[in-house]
Amino acid sequence: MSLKQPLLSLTGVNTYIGQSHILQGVDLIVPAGHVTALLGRNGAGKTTTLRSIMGLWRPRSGQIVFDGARLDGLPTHEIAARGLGYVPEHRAIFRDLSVFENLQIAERKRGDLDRALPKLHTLFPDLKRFESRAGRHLSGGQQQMLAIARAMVADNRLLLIDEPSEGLAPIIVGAIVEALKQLKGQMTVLLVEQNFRMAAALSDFYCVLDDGHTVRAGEMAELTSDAALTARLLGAG
Amino acid sequence: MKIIRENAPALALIGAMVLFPFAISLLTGEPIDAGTPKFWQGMLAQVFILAVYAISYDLLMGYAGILSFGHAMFFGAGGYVVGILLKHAGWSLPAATLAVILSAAALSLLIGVTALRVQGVYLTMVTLAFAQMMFVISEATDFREWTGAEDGLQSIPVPAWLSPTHQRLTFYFVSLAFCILSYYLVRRITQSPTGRVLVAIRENELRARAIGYNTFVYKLVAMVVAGIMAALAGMMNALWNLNANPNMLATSTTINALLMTIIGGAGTLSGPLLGAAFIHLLGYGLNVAFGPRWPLLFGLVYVAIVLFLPYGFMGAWRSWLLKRRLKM
Repeated sequence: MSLKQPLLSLTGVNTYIGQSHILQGVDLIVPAGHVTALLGRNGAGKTTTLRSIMGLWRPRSGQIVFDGARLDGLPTHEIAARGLGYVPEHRAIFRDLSVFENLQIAERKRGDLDRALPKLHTLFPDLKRFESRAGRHLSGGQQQMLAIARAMVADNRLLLIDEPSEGLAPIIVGAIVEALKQLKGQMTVLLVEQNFRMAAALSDFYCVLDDGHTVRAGEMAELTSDAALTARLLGAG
Repeated sequence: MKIIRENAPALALIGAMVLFPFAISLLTGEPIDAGTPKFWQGMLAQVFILAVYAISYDLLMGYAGILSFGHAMFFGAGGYVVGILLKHAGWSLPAATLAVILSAAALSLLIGVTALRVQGVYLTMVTLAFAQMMFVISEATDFREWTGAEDGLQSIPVPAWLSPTHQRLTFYFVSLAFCILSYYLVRRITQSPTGRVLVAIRENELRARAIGYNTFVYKLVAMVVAGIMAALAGMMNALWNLNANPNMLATSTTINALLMTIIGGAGTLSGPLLGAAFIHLLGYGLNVAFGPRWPLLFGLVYVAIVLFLPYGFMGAWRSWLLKRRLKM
């Protein structure tokens, strides 16, 4: 695929969970300033790829390079500090903290939140309305919005978002898509998404994993214009 | 004015505790430094000391989610350090206090660096192992000259001005001040950004790491603060009893902290305070009423509380408040 300089690249990444060889040589390029969708069937290794990038699983071999520097082998908190915002699956907020505290805790420098808050409140107005509410008392959609917003508090250069639509009602998914669309062009995003229509609407590039391998990567337009190819790569299109 | 209004219940409680010795003296018509007033000053002084011990445990368990079975080792270490320095080394109390703080910091750093490498039940076991080691050392006859071995370190020379026997009222106020200061110190921590990170770690440590926190350092800080506080509480306890004994290092002393915290409500600071008062006063009451069988009844009370108030007194109170607010 035709690429500007990649912000993040994975080369031949192998990750084991216990005895299981989950990632068997993943190659991935995330171009700066664009949204890249990581696609594939259940169990293809998408979430493990994100977790390997964050150092939550340590890759056994391969290289992960972010902005010219190796990430693999670093402890998770140092990886995050390089400017990676991670939105894990299952709406991973802190349930015992309020909405505001959930955002505050993501500050990396003093003033991060003051700077980010107006933008976050425009993107997700509910976060302003329920500022003092405990995370556990938010709806699923609000929790997801909070999880995304939390990754945007610090001055992150790359967002890793895992299955933002999972388990949410279609109308809520629509709201999240709208919010993420506003990020396009401003942020580099690596998006894992089962819902192909959502992924297609948001992404500029794609990468398909199957059984822990990269099987194909390219521009999203190539997939959306070729239904047969999409069906072949992703099963039911 | 705003500060006063926001802290009204706390201020009222502090006021009541300050007036308490005088009120009892008025009510009973006995002098303030004898009889019933003196006895109850002692009871409450012990509650204040235990409360600090329980609060320190709550910082670990209730906030950071670290379940330690070795907390008694800090309590006991505080007692032994102050006892040995006062009795055998002839140190002054301020110098011995400083030594208690420094040795507790060193001990908790050592335990933290070792135990915090593992998680969950393994961490619990490592802390238990350390505490048992200290317990065995305290009973070892090799050090009888210094520790008194299984008899404990008896007749610690407490400075005359603080003597729990002759200056009970002073001891009462010193314990009260110790309790208030410790409470506000821990509250400062739990309400600070550090406190929120501790809660985040308790909920999901990996998530906290993925945001960029070196969670090990935060847990270590919690461990050191809790260790120092427990050691100071142990020091006060030794000054009150005029002795330090192996029982201070026993597992049952850790369990006591756990019970006070759970009964009062883990993850709240007033919880352990209430828990300490409840356990100490109820234990006394049951002992008076039923004699040496009282721990048996105490067990039943524990079971009932865990069954009916699973989040402790403070947890039950908060959910009651929440329900009432939702109805309105």
